[in-house]
Amino acid sequence: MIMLDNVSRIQRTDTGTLLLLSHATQIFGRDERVGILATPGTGKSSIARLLAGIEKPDTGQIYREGKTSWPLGFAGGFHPELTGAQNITLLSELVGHDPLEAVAFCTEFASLGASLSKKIKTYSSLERAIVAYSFSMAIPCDMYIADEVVSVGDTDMRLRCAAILDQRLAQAGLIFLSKNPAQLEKHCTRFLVLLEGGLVPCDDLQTGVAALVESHERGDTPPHIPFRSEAGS
Amino acid sequence: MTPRDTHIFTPGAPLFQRIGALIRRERATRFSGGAIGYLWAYLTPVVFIGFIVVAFHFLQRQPPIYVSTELFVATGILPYLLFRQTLAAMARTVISNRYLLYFSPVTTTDLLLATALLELLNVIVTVVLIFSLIMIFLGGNMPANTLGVINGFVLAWAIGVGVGRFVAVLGQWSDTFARMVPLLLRPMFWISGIFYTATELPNSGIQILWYNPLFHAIELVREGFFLGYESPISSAWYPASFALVFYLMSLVLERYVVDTRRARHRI
Repeated sequence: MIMLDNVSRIQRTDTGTLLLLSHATQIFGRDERVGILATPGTGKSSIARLLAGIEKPDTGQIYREGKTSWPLGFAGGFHPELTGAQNITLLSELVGHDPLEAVAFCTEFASLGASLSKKIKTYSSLERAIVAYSFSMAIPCDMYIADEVVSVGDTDMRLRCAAILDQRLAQAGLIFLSKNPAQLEKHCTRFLVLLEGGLVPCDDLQTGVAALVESHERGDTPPHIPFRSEAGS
Repeated sequence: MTPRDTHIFTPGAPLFQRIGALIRRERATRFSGGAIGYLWAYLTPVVFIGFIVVAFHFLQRQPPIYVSTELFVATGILPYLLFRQTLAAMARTVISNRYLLYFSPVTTTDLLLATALLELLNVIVTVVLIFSLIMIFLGGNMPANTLGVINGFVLAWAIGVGVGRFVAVLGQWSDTFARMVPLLLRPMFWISGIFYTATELPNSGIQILWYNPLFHAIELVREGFFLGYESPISSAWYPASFALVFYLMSLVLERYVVDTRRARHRI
């Protein structure tokens, strides 16, 4: 469970301050899959970091019960000079999970076999993404946070990602932030729209998209958004 | 009410396990790629001492205390390196390892603590190595007062930790400050009594250099090491308070830099 109580998040820029999140109050349950629709550049990643406990809010309180994941597929913790297996081992120890179990899981799931013993710097970006994703699935959490990424790889791999995520979500909640309504539709059951700093509930994403487009036409959101509800995956 | 993030129940690795993992990660990566790897950490001070000893011979300088040049230089340079390396490593870790903060429960404090402990560990190994080498090959007496020597080293480390934490926090905010730090620290090599003692200084020199906390730490090491040596710059309270003041200032500054997100580097 993650509860936001009157949470605001301010972004200082060279030209002034932006209110990314304004006095948001919201409960995300362990049995929920919540999709947050947001246009690019309106603070998706910052809110993901807030939800994942990486950043603190500017006002308000965040309460969390149980273990929250880092944004799925985050690969920034990998050291390029260490092998995939070494990285997984060390990061598992940092988060308090059995390293052997995590390595075994990643070896099987990523089916990269021997390449886990290669240094990360020699990986292709796809291999890196797959290892990072499998590592985020190797550590059981009570709440999963996804910032645009819910699956990686080719079609077959994406299916396996969706399957394992489904399996994890049988006992955990998901908060998925995306600009892509089709993706949100596929993975979530409850929807919010990040509209001018507020988390506005909406029954279906058509309404959400319409609200964003309308706000955009009034000039309240950045003007560079190609917004189509039929956007592909 | 101040904004915060409250964990009602947080499973995660205990502190000692996180510190252990961070230390192993740093040891595995700092000198990776080269043939001799982590030996560099111990080799650098040996070479450093070697150069200064050679300089002593060329300048025909005798140590002001009746001991071998090697031993005299080692008692000066090792506390200096402990201070300097701890400070530099702490400033580096908060930037280069900032993405580890994505992995709850890792905090900035973990990164700083692991770095400070690793630097201490490195110098302990180096100190034992160098003093043993000197004793075996060049002779010399064991420290007259081992606790005194340890006290001096711990103080040098404490200054490194206190000032290092301050530099780490302020350096995250100000690029100008981060670039100035090496320049500001450059004179420390010359004004901390590495190749001379406080007793050799004129009175006016003692009065000015008394304010250099590292000078105290180095002279305390020598007082402990060399029987009968007494220095006019050897207060334990001054360097300890100096370290504490910088440490506390860094805590206040951290609130400002982190809470208002003024760090230069994105996470």
